[in-house]
Amino acid sequence: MSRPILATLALLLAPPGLAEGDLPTKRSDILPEVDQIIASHDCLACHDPESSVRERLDPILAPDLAGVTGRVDRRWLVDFLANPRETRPGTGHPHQLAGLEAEGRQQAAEGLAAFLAANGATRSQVGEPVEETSDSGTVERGRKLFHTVGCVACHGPLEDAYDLEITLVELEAELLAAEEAWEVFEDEGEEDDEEPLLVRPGTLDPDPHPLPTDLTRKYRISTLAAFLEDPVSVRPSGHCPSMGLEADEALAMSAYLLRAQSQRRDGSQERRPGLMVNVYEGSNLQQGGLARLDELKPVATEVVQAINVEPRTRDDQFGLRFTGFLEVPSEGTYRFHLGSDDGSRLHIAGEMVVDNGGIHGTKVISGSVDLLAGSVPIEVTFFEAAGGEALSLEWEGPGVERGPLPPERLWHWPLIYRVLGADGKPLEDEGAAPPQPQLVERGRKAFARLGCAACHAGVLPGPAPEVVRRPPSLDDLDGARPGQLLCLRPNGRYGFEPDVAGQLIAAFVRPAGIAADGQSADAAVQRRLAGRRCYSCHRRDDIGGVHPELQVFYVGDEEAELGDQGRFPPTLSAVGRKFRPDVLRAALRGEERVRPYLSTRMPRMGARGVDGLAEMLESSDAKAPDEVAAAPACDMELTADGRRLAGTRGLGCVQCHRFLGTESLGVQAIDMGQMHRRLRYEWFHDLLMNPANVDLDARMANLWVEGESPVQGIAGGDIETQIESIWCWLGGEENMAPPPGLETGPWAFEVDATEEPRTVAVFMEGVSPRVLCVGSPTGLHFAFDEQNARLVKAWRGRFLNAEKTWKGRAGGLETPASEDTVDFSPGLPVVPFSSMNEPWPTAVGAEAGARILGRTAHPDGSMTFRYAVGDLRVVELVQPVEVIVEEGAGTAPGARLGVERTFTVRAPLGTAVMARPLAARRFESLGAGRWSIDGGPWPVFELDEQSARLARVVEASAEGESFTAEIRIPIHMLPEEPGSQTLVGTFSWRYAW
Amino acid sequence: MEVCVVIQLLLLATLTGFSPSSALALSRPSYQEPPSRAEREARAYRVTSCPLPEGVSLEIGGLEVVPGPAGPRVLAVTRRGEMWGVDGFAGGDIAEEPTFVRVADGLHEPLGLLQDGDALLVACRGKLVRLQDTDGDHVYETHDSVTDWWRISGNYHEYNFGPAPGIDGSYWITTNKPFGAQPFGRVTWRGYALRITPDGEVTPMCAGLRSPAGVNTSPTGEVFYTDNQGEWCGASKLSLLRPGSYHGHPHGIGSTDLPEWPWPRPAALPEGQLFSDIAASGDFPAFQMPSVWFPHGEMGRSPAGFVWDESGGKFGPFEGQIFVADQYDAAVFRVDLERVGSQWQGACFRFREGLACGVIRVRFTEEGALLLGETDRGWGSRGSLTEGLQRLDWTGVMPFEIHTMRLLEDRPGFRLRFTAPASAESMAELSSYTMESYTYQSTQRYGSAELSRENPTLREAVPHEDGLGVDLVFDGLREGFVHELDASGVRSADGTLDLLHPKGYYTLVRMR
Repeated sequence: MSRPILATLALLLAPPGLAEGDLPTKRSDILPEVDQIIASHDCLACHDPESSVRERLDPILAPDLAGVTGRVDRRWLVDFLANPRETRPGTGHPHQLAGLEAEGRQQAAEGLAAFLAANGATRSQVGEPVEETSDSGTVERGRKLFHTVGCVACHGPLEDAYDLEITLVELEAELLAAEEAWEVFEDEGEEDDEEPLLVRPGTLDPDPHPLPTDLTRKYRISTLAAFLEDPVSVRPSGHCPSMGLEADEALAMSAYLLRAQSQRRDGSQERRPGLMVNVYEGSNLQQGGLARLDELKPVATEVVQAINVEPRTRDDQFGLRFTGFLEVPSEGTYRFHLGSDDGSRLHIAGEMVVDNGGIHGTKVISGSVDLLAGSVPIEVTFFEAAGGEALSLEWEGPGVERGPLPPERLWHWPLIYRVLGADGKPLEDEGAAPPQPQLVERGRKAFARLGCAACHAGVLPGPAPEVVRRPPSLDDLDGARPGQLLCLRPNGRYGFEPDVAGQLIAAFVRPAGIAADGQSADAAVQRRLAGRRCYSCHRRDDIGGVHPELQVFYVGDEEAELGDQGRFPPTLSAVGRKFRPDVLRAALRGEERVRPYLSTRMPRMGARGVDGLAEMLESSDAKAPDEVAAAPACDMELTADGRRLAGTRGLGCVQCHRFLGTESLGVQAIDMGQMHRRLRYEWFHDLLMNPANVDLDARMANLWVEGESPVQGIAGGDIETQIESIWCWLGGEENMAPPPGLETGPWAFEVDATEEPRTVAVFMEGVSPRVLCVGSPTGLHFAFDEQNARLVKAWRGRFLNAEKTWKGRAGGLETPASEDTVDFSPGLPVVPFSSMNEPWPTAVGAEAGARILGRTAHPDGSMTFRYAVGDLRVVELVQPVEVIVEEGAGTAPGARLGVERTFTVRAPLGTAVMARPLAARRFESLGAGRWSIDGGPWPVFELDEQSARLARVVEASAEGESFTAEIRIPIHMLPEEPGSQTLVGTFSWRYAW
Repeated sequence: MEVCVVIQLLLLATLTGFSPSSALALSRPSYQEPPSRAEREARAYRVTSCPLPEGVSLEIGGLEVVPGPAGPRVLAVTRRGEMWGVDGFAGGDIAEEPTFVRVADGLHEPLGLLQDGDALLVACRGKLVRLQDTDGDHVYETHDSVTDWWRISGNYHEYNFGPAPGIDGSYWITTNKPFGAQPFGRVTWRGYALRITPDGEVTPMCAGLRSPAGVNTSPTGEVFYTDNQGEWCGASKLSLLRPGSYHGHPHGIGSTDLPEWPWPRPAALPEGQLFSDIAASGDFPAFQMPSVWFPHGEMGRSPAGFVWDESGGKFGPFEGQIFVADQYDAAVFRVDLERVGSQWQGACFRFREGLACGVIRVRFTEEGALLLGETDRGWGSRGSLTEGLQRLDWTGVMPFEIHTMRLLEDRPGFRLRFTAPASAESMAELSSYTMESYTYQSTQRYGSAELSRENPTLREAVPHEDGLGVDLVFDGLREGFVHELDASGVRSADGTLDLLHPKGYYTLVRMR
C-alpha cells in the first residue's frame, strides 16, 4: 500500500537535471559541477559577497587567519604563499603573487607571513620545541578513529579495510617480507572474479575529497590536533566539521595523519620491551578524573615492564597513561581484570574494554574482548586523587592462566615527530626571531592590496596603500566577453584546466544560471545535502546512503543487534517534520547524540553551516495541516494505558527500545526517555501507524495486524487511542513510570500493581523492618507497620520498586515509589482511653500492648488488618476510595484518591475507647463531619455520620510535633449481643490529600 | 571414505586413551566408553524441569504439595514473598507447561512452608504466619500471626527457616544470625531453634546456630537442622536439635541469660580447639556434636533443606535415608544415620548433581518423586539458572551404590551394604579401599581445615555371603572424626561397574 505512494514521491522529487524517474548517481547530478567549483573557490566573496546566489551556493569560506602562524609552520606558510599550487596540489587558493618574479614572490610571501605573525596571532611558536613525541600505540588508535568516526565519508579511507585488521608495524613487516620474497602485491587478476558491488539506486558515488598532501609540512602533532578538535573555529563554514574528538582522540588521529613525520627514536626497527608510561601531576583530579589527563602535560615519561603505580612522582593528585602493544599468543576471548584506587580504564585496539573510572577504593572490574593472535595496541589510564593508590591489570584467555601481563609480551615503539621540509626531510628548529617591522609593514600593504580580507577573516589589514580595484559584480559580468575574465586566464591566479575554465566562463557571462535550480524548497535541500556531503552517510527520499565501497568502515556496535540501523546513520526522510524545531537544529549541529551504537559521529558543522538547512527541511517536509495528526490531550488514564502498552504484555515497545538508560529486552534501539523531547506528535503518529510511512528502511515492524491492534484489552483496542496513550506516557520523559516486563536495571524490581493488587513486605526507611506495602490498580497504595500495628503511609502513582528487597542479598530500606505520599498521624488511631484533654498516648507497638494478629486481602486491593491494643481487638479495613468535594462553602469542587479506614473494635465490658484519626495545624469544618486541613481545599477529612456527631476538635500540643489540633472521637460502645461481656463499636473515616 | 574412518578411529582411540596400534583391532566387538558418572546418575534418577511462565520469579523458599483444583498442586513460597500454586507438575503426568497461579503474597522472605490440616505455616522474617483459604477458592487471603515473639533488626541475614512439625503439634523454626548493618538495632534470639505451640507460645530450645538453612523432623519425631560452614562452624553439618543443646556459634549466646531460656546456660567453646577434644573433655555438656559433617567442597558448601525418604521404595532403594539439598552445588546428597547410644551419627554420600541451580528445598510427592526448590540469589551456585523448580524421579534402574555405611557391632570397623551385588573378589581385596580420618576446630575464622589427619589401617575385608556387603575391620578409628572411605576398587558382580559414588564420609562421634 505504501510503496506506490513513495514511488510517486520519488518521481516528484527527482532532482532537476535528471529525467523523471532517474535517480542521481553522483553529486554533480544534484549540484552542477560548475556550481561546486564556484562554491569551493567562493568566487562570489569578491564578485558579489551579499548576493542570495552566494548564499544558495553555500560556499566554502576561507580560513580565519587569526593566529594562523601559531597553527601552521611558518616555512610552509611562506612556501604556500609564494607558490600555492606547487606547495599544496589541488588548492583553491589563488596564486596572488603569480605576477611577480621568483625573488619578489619570496619577499612578498615573507612579508605576508611576517604580517600575519605580528597581527592577530593569538598563539606563538616561540620557545616551543619543534620535536614532538608519540608512540605507535597512539598512532594505531588514531588510525582506527580516522576510519570509524566518519572522516572516510568525505576523505575516503587511507588504507584498505583488510589492512586495518593488523597493526601498521605488522603491516610493514609483512610488506618487507613480501618484497624479500619477490611477491609484489600487484593486481593478481582477482578483480575480474570479484562480483560487482550492488549499488542501491540513488546512492551517490563516493567522490572523495582527498586529504591535502602537505600536512606533514604544515602541521605538528599538537597543532593538527588542535585543528581537528575544532575545525569550525578556523574554517567557519563547517565544510570540514568537528567530529567531536576529545583532546586525546585528536592527538591520536593527528599522530596517525602525520605518521610520515615520525622516526623511531634511534632509527632502529627493533621493538622495545615494556610499555611507555606518561606521568601526570594535576590538582583537584577528583573533578573530571581520567578526562583531565588529556589536558595535562606529562611531567615524566619512562619505560616500564609492569602496570602499577610505581612510576608515580607523588602519592596524590597524579595520573598515569601506559601505552604500547600486547602480543596475543593465540586467537580467542581474553578477559582482563583491572583493579585500581582511584579510577582507571583499559583500551585495547582502541576499544574500551574495562571502565573502572571514578573515585573509589581498590575495586576490580573485568571485561572481555575477542583478539586475534599478534600484537594489539593497549592503553591503560589511571588517576589518583587522594588517599591510597593502587593499580593492577590481570588477564586470562586461551592457554593463559589468570595473572599479570607477562613483561615479555609487552612492547612499544617510541616515535619522535619533526615537521618535514619541501624535500621530505625533517626540519631543524628555526629559532625565534622577532618580526622585522619593515617586513611586517610590507606584508600589511600586500595583504591589503591583494584583497585577502575579502575571503579571510581574523586579520585586519588597515588602510590600503592604493585604491584597490573592486572585482566586477555578477551584474557587471552579465554579458561580459570571456577575455575580460582575468581570473580565468590560463596560468593566472587559479590555473584551471581548460575544460573547467570553459564551464566557468560560460557561467559568469550568463550569471543568472549560477545556482539557478536552488529555488524550490526540495531542490534547495538536495543542493545543500549534496554540497555538505550529507548523502555520503544519510539517505533521504531515495537519494544517498553509504556507498557499498565504504560500508565496511561503518562498524557500529554489534551488541545492539540493530542490523544496518545499528551501523549506518539514520534516514533524513521527513526529518523536517520529525523533530521539534530546536531538536532539529541541535541534531543538525551534531549536538543530539542518541544512537550510542553508531561508530560514526554526527559532524558538528557549526550554526552557520546548518541553521538555514533546518528551515529548508521544515518547509520541504511540511504536510498540509489537515493531514497532520494533532497531539492528544493527556490524562492519567491515557498515560497509564500507554505505560501498559509499552510493556511486554502490550505492544512490546520495551522489547527493542531502551528505557531511561536501562537495556531493553532484545535489540538496543533508541531510548524511550528521549522520544517525547525530540519528536513531533505528527511524525510519531505516522511512524506508529506504519513505520514504512516515514522510513522504508525502518527495522521497526508494523504493530498492527491487518489493521487491528493485537492488544484489545487496553484503550478499547482502538489504534488511534493507543498511539495517543503511548505518546502521553512518553510525555513523562525522565519521570516516566517503567513499562511492565523490564527485566534489567533498576526497573527489574518494579512491582506492577496496575493489573491486580500486590502486597510486598519490606524493611521501610524511617518506619520499621516489618512493613507491608499494599498496592492496587486504583493507583492508591498504603503501608502498614506490622511491628507497631499501625497504618503509616498512603501514596498515589507508582507503587513500589522492590530492588532493595529483591536484588542480590537485599536488605536495603525501601520507600514508596512515589513522592505523592502522606504519613499518617503518629501514635495509634484507637486506644483504651477516656480523656478528651490529656495528651494522646504516643506509645505504639509492644510498648502500647499493640501487636498484629493477622490480615485478609481482598480482590479490590483493600485489606483488613486485625490487631490488638491492650485489651482492645481492632479490625481495620483499609480501602482506596475517591473523595469527592462538591461546590460548597468556599471550596472548589474536585475528586481525589484517598483512603477509607473502617474500624470494628471489641473491648471488655467497662472499657472506654477513644479514636484519634488525625492531628494537624488547623481544621476548618465544612459541615456534615467534613473538615479541610491546614487551610487549603485539600487535604479533606470526613467522618461517618455517628462519629461526626461525637467528634471534637481539641487543642493538642504534643512535644516535638508540628500539629496543634486533633480530632478525637469517643467511641460509642455497645454490648455485642444482649448481655454479652464484650462491647463493640464501629466507626470509619476518609482522608484524601 | 576409508581415510575418514581411520581418522575417526584414531580420534576415538586418542579420546579413550587407547594407543593407535590397538585401535586397529577395533573390528572386534566395538569398545564402549564406560558411561560417565553423570550419565549413570541420570539413568537411575531422571530430572524434570518446570518451565516458568513469563513474569514469574520462583526463588523457592519452601515447598508443599496439596490437593489442588486439578490434581496435586505444588505450593512454593518464594523469596519475593509470594506463594505460587503450580498445577501439572507434582502428579504422575507432568504437563508440558504447568500452570501457575499466585495464591498469596506479602510474606516477608519466607524460607519454609508446612501444611498443617487446611492451614499452611510459614516462617517469615518477623513472625510465624498461618495462611488460610477461608472461601475455598484456593487463594490464601487470610494470614494470621501465630507469633511475632522475636524482633528483627533490618539485617538481610536474619532469615528464619521452617517450620518443622514438632511431634507434639508444635512448630520448630531456626533463626539465622545477622551479618553487617542492623539499621533498627541489635536484637535477641538470633541463632536459635524455637519451639512454638499452635497458639503462639514460644520456647527457645537450642542456641549457637549459625546459618541454619534447613530444619525438619525425623520419622521418630526428633528435629534436626543443617548449618553452613563459617566462623565457629568448622564444616557444614547436620545436627540433632536436642532440647537445651548448644551448637557452637557464640553470636546470640547472650540471650541464654534471659528468663525465657529454660535450660542451663551453655558454655562458649574455646578458640582453636578440635571438636574431638571438646567432645571428649566433658566440659561442654550442652555442646551438640553433629550427626554428619559435610566435608567442604567434596560434599557441597551450603546444605539446606532435607527430607527423609518415606516413599516406601517408590524413590528407589534408600527408604528411611535422608536427602539433603545443597544450595551451592546444585546437587542433592544422601545421608544414612544410625543411633549409637544417644548420638545419631552416620555417613553422607553424593547422590545426584547437575541440577539447574543451587537447591535449597526438597519435598516428596505422593508418588515418591522428589521436588527440588531452587534459588541462588545473593550467593551464586553451580548450574545454569538462578531459580526454579525441578523434580527427581527414580527410573527403576538400580544405581550401584553404597547403600549404608555403619559401625560394626562387635569390632572397630564399618559394615558396607551395597544396592546391588558386588564381586566377592573385589570386596575382599584390601586395596579396594582407602580411608582417611580428620576433624575440625572451633574457631572464629571462616571455616576450618581438615585437621589431625590419619589413615586408619584396614585389617580385614569380609564379604557378606549374599554378595551385597562387606565388613571392614580397621585399626585406628577415632571418636570425633570424619572417616572418609573410598571404595573405588569394589566392582559390580559381573565386574563391569565400579560404585557410582565410591566415597562415604562417616562422622564417628561415638564408638559402639
